[in-house]
Amino acid sequence: MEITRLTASENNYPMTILPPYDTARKKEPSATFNTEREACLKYFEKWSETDQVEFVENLLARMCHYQHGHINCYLKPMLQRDFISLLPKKGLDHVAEHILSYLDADSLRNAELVCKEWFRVISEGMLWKKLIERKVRTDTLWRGLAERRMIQYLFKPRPGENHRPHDFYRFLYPQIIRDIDSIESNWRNGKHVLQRINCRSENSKGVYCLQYDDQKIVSGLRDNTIKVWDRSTLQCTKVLIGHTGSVLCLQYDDKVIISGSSDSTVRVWNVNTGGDIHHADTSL
Amino acid sequence: MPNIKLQSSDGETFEVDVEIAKCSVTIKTMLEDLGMDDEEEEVVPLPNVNSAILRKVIQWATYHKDDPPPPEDDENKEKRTDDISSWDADFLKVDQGTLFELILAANYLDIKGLLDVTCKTVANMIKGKAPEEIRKTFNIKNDFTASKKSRFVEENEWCEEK
Repeated sequence: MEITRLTASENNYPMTILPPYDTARKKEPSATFNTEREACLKYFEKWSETDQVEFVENLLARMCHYQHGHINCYLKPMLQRDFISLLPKKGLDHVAEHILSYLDADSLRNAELVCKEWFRVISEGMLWKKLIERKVRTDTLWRGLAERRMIQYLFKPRPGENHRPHDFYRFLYPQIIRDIDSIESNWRNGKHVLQRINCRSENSKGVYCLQYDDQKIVSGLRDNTIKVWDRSTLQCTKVLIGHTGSVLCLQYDDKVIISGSSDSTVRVWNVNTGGDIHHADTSL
Repeated sequence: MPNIKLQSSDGETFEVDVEIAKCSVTIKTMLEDLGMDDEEEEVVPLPNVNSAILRKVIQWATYHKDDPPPPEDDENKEKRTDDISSWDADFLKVDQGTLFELILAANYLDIKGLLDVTCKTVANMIKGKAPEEIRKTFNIKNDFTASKKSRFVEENEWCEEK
């Protein structure tokens, strides 16, 4: 069966390849038709775009249903665009990446499988890394996991280090998903390890607030103290005394602990020594 | 209300309110660099945008003229594609060729709102589809060889586990 190659438009968008309209036709079109067709095309090319459209509408109105079906198949691919492959050809890789950055993980993985060029745009755009970073910014569970496991591979690399190659992040994503799934399943099935720390308050027992990291737990207590507990031994390593009311809220970083109390003061403590640096009265 | 004349690549001129035209950072910068003269009406040439597309861009900008300025990419927000307004959705019910030209124009003219909504629209055409469906949507040929494809599918099986 002969396949007629029809010419593409000037833009070099994908050519339409269709079987010929009349597959029973064995002869070449007649010489009369060829001459008349050339004459018509010469007129056509001189007309304005609006006139050309009107002319084609006239032609279509004179055609039968079967012809319409054939024309429709011819036209359809001309109206399609491979956005992700075409944009880099115009130097607009970042716009292709912008489109792909809206995809969820499943869609991104399907997009990688479309064709080589889509795979290249996703790899060179480091889109898996960006997806993980977005999750870490917007989801506290992801943030928590990242800070424990792999935050050094995300965002800006440490001075002197480079980013990992894109593959690293493509495999990292499902590993994180598996970790999240097993955490959730552990909670659901009660497969957690419980350790109790007795805060040893003489009176006014109660814990109002805490923050923790891999080394310590900093707790604010109803007995007016802040107690710091070692994560591995569960022993109390510091007792910060100074507040004259329950410690209601606190936050710390690598330098200080800042606590708020029902004694209406805010206190700043040295996180390493436990010494009182400053306190400010918040009441009017 | 001062107007500005915008000239498309095919020579057609469009008269537009200056404030509407300035939603395009490119045009805004051009005007600031040239200096605004109220006496003569400035003609801003836009050689990268044809009249059909420029007409549509002006239509979008006119409808959105009272929008608050878009925030700088707020990286702490989830990226959503389900928040396209119904007016924009209707406006973008066009063939892919026109949508592509609108993306190019929005990028060239630096109109963040239009670029975002057109890109979201394309993303929505990709979302939720298997690779073969994506290829049908955009008329893309599968150029992976059989061996590379099967190795690749194996590596990606984690997605199937859901």
